[in-house]
Amino acid sequence: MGAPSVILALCGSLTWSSISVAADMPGSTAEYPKADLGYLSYDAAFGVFGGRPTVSASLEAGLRLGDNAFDVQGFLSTSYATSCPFGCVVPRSAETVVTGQINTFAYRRHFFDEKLFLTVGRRNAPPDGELPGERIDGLSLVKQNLDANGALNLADVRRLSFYAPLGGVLSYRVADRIYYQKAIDPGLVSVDSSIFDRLPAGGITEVTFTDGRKIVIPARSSLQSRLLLYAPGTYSFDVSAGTTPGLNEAYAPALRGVGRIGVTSELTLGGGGELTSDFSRQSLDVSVKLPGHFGYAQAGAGGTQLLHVLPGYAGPRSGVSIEAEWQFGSNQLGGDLLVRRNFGLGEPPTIVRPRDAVPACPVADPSFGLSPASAAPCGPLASPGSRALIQSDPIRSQIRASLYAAARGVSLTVNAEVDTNLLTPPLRSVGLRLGGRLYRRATWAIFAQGSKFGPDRPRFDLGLTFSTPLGRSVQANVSVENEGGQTSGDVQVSGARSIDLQNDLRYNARVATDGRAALTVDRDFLGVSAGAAVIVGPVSGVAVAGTLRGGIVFGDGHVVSVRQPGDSLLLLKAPGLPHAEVFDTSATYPKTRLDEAGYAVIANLAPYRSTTLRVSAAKAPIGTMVNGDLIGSVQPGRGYEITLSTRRIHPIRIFFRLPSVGQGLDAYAVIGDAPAPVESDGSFYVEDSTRLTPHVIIVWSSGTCLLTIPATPRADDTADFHVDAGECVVQ
Amino acid sequence: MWTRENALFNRSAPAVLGVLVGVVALTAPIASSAVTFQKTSIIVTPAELAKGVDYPLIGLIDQKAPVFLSIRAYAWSQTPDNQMILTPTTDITTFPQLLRVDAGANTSVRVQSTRSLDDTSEHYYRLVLEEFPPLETKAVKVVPTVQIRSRPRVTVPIVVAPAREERREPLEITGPRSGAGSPSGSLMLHNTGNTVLVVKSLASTVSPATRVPVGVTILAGSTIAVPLPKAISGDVEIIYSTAKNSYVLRHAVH
Repeated sequence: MGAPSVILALCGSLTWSSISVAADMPGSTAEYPKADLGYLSYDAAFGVFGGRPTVSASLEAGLRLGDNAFDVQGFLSTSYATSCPFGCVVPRSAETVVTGQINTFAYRRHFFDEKLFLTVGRRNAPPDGELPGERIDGLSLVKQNLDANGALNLADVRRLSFYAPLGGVLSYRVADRIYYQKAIDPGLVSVDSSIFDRLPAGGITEVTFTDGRKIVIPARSSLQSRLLLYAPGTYSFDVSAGTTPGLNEAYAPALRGVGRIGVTSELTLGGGGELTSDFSRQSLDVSVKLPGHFGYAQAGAGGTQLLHVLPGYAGPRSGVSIEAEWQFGSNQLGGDLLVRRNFGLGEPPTIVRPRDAVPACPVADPSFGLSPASAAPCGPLASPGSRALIQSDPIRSQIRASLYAAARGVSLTVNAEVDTNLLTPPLRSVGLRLGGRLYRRATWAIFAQGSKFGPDRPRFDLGLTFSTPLGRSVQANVSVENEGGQTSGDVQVSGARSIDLQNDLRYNARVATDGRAALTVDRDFLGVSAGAAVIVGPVSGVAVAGTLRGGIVFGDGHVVSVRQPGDSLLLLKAPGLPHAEVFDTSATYPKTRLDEAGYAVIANLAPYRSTTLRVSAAKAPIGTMVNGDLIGSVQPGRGYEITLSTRRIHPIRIFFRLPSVGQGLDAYAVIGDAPAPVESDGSFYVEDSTRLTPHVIIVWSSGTCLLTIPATPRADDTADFHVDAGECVVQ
Repeated sequence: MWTRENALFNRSAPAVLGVLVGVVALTAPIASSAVTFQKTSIIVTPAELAKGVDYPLIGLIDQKAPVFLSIRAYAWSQTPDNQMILTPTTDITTFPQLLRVDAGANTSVRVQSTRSLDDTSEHYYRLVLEEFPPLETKAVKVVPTVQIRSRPRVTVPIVVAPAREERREPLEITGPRSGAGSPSGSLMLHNTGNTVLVVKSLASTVSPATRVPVGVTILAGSTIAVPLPKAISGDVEIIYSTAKNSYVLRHAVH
């Protein structure tokens, strides 16, 4: 039996209340006060692999000057080999490649209204529907879709079915604010997902049982990353004109436009097109929310026409692609079906030119806990000197189906997939995964997969994973795999230690049966994140690697460290509260902490949405009050500054004797406009003693009396200062 | 019980401290509260409590009017009858001690120790949160019309945890319960350790299938009489746990 059961036994006397449902969403709120700020962030990975050093670094900087935003971001990489000791091939080339690229160099500001952006310069247009994202130099006009509350209205699947051993209350909250509450009875509980449709996303669904125990119900992730359901009548568009990387080593003129509109709350339509001197593309998609457990569906169609091809290219010049996905079910039983079919050159081609060749990872494998410089993508090294080609192997058809079922802590997933590509043989695979819990905290999983690639013989993979906690913050993981007849395995021990807010330590040790071993340590401290790894392998030898990430923001004559600067930046100043924790409504835990001088930067606040920031005075002397309104909103590409002043108040408790006629009744002391109830011990409390007058009226249902407060000097540091005012005289 | 407490409190103020203030039942609430409590307990180290901790409170969103909440800390101990005793204390203070909670509003109360508490043994306190209805302004100015209402009251345990659990198998049986008017067939169980323990269940060694859940909390240093269920005959096994360990204590019943 662990600590929770003891804690449960202590929590005897919670008061449960009536059921209530959120009536409204947070409305539009005024912006925080704007300010001029600048930022700089860095993200670097370096290593020595095969005796050769590699470095990859990305740098991002920008200014927020009123309504004007200027950003520049790029990366520089020297790479030696296709590294990655686990999962990647051993270096075959001794060539060192230096790559650099400016990804963003753009000026932005709002035009016409607060939600319309004009961008001048270089930007990466995001993927939309069947159109891939593309880099464009030129002009862009972007309008963001916003519902009545100034927020994107995205579909989020939260169907809840669970077994409740006791009665209790199910609640959905975003940070501290509760948006939905429902009393539940013991037994199987199934809650219709539609109740969440009107609630803001990003919250936690939890159940507090009558014995005080609290559990969090995980929301199943689903199509939500791709499925956009807009509120009815709301829309967005993104129009760009300029040049884009073309097929023939030169920039091609390009025009690109995408749009999306919410027709009803269950149906959203999207579409767009792109035209360059090399090709044109069109896209149309529809997203639908089906009733009940029928889930969500999305279907799209796209067309591509090559207008200009390189010499030697003999593939199809045009084609159509169609795609549909349906996800359905509940937490216990459901499935996902994806069907794609391309006719001709259906899939938009991926163009890779030599000078845009993606650098190799310096020493990067996310499974080590070390990730490369985030803005510097890594992947297969393109051969220098080769001509630009349509590099991807377009899919001719794809059918992917998965079914899952979960009961009594055991889950089963069955997958089947058939892929047919233009250039490679078809792939057929069937797999299943069975997993569950063991003795409450340990987990196990078995997976089996059979696949057949073209004319090759069928291949069978089998794997077993067992994971168990070793103490409070250490986890051990053992896995054994047999892939196509070859058996391998590894043992991992990983742990995390949170020393305090902004001060974390993570480590991972891994040993594989083929002799490879790695040790990784990651440390976050005051906005700087540093990692180090040592990897030893029989073929690759000894490799060392490191990462360094962080950022700083300049404003108000100060430099404030921040882990990751965001598009909108908010500088918070509270000189009287050094090291105080800062909370916001989108996080359960403290968002950040003020530094020694009382400064902090809040980045990545959800734009346009009302945000409530709260600075905790828990570490300040008792009676320290924070002045200032911290409710507001931010807009993309702007800087803000809030100054919080503090003052000190001194509470006082007054004991007195209530006349016999008033005893047993609810009595109140009238202190200005805030009456103070007389408590069970015959006292009332005044938070700020300066508000106390020499004579106080006590009122109850059938009378009043007058109390004379004696003048008593107090010591400022007395936490519980009280005086005895004697008898209250009936009027 | 609360009435008795009132009577005691209504003595002169200095006399209040150190006086037994009453016993709060651990069972059903008196009335429904308009406030939601995110944390059902406060478990802290002496060092954390010296710096102060925030106890969050949320007003229910269907609450029609703001309410006043009195929040005060008391020392918590137990009687052998397993009754909770709350005694005024100067070890811990709260700020503010009176809070106006609006519908849906997030607020918090600061809990802080006023003296250094040693970390060799656990210290027990409870926050007593008592809800008062709002006083209508008109009533103050014209004719007072405040009604008598029941006041929702919640107590939240504060456990100031020691640096480590000192003793293994901290439960001792100090003998069968005695005394006039007491139920027979009880065991007096004494927690000799420095952390709280929970007696989970009693089982008969004669018939292992007979296992009766108990769920009695015994604070460090306290002695509690646990009645022996009729279903338990012969030797008895007491299954209990501390925060870190679970134990079984065998006892021959004569």
